Amino acid sequence: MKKVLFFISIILACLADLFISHHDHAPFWWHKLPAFDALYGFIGGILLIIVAQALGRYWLQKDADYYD
Amino acid sequence: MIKPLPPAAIFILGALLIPLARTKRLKQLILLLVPAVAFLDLLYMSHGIYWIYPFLGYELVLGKVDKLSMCFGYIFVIVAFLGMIYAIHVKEDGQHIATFFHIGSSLGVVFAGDLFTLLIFWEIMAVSGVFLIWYQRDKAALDAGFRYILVHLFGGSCLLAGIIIHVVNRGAIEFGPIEYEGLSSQLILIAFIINAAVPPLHAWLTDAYPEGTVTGSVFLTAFVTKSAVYVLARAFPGVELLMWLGAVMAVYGVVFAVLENDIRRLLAYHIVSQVGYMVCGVGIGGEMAIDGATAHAFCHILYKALLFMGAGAVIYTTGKKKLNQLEGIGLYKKMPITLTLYMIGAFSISGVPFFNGFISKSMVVSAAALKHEPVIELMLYLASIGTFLHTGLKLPYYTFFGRPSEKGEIEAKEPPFNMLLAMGLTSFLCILIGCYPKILYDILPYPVDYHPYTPDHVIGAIQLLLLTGAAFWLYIDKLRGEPTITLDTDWFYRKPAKAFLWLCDIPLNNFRLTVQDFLSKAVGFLTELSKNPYTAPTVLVLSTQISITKALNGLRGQPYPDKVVELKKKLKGINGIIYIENRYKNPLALNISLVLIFLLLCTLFV
Repeated sequence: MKKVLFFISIILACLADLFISHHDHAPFWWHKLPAFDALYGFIGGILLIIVAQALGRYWLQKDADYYD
Repeated sequence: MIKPLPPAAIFILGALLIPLARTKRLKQLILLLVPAVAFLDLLYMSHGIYWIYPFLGYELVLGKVDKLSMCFGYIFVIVAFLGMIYAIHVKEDGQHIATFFHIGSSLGVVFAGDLFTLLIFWEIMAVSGVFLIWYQRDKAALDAGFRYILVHLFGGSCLLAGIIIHVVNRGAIEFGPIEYEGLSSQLILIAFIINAAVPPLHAWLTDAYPEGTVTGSVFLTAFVTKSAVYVLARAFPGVELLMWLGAVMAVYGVVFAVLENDIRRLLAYHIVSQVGYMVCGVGIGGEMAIDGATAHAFCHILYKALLFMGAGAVIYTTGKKKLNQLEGIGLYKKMPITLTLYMIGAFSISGVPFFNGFISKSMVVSAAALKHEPVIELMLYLASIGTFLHTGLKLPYYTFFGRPSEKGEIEAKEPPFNMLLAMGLTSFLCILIGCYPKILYDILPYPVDYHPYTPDHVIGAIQLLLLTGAAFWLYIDKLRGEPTITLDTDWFYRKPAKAFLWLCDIPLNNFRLTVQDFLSKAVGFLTELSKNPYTAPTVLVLSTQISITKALNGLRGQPYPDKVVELKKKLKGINGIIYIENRYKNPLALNISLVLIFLLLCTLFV
């Protein structure tokens, strides 16, 4: 049920973009794309997680007593 | 007519009153009254330049009051009051005194009209801050505190050096816009960006803030970085370098927050990220960006204090501060009020509409877009995603919910009433400013012509947040806290420092001992010789003879032959001869001849 509500709200937010937003203050072309923010949020979120975890796994994460 | 006092003086004098209060009630009254009096004082302060004191031919200015400094002054005093409610149960006077000095010196920085006053308050701020860490009284806090103070003293030295060069070159000490060129401005900028925690000079923040006391950390989050934002906005508006540093900072903080397990360190990385927006705004320059940076500092102080209060409440009641220890122990059932208030802070920092982060963060992002900086705009946008991902989703999920742990639920309850009250009031202000941004926009340095609640903005923000939620939901298991630490730029002074200590302790110390030994022996020998200069040649011959005999016998395997004993006796006999002036009077001519021969040789060879 929660998942269904979540999906419905995503779809509503994307549809709202088509009908309510004017995109008249758009300095860059991507501001005119419908649902750009949604796409950017999803891809950006996944990229952040993957890149950060790769950095952590192969380089930055150490045991808690590393500096002792 | 009431004459206002410098707000810094109110807090510093207030700090001196604390130990005099005999009863607990009186002390608590002082703790709350001082910020309240300071707030009234601010209301009486008019714009202008005053509290001028002559000093060494210069003029120290304690009151440079305009809209920019007033805005920072207001929020510093407001958060001082809220933080004091949160910390009122703390019994140690020392903590309160350090806090008042910290707040007072930050206000001193904000109203400083000249560089000397700025420097003095800058240093008091560093020294008083370290006590808020050390009062935690464990080894981690002690070590982190030492690193904190060393970094800040380095920053203070840069500031001093920069100021001296600036004053020598310009002959004036007024604190205002500084042209970014030449060594003096670079040194001053380095000092400012150390305090603003700009990577790679930021690691002191994420190292030290999580180790402070539960209440002390709330104050630490508010003052040092934001007073640095103020001085940057005052001295270096529109410096393009700052725009790029700020954008990198905003993303840097959220990347490192992914890997963090300590709840307060995770929040500390978000300070780096959020201050990135402000530094970026200062770098963009122009009225809207400076307004945005100031507004974001104002809002950030409120919601970050609220988040640290929430995290502090969890640590206060459970004693645990790592996500992997907190997961699945059912805190949402035990601390629902703390959870709700924390989430208000989380929504604010994430820029959810009707919370204060939305109305300030979007100003900086819009300023970047209006200046036609597409990369900056997208970087700041990316940082927003990371902020909601960790502060709004990961941290509360794994702290209060998570998969039920095998350890079962623990005994925990809501924190004391004063802590909840402080969090409640801070939450109220976050929502109030989010719903009525005019309250804040009216006190910003420049007139504001910006409307955050347009359909585009609101729908964009909702889309961004919802889909960030979807990304979190996909990777929920991968974001679980792991019992590790993450290397950051503090590595450069923590690990090599150990090698440096070893270098000092073993090779260099041994070298020192060898030199010292040799010299003390030489001094001893010369002392013996100089007792009686006339026997010196004989002493020299005899001691050489002893050394040679000893060495030869050592080679032959006879450790201590009679000859050495005999020679030593002789040497002792000679050493015993006392110098009597009259006994050695040689003919004068001989001495003169010797001197003349020496001088001749000198003239020949030199």
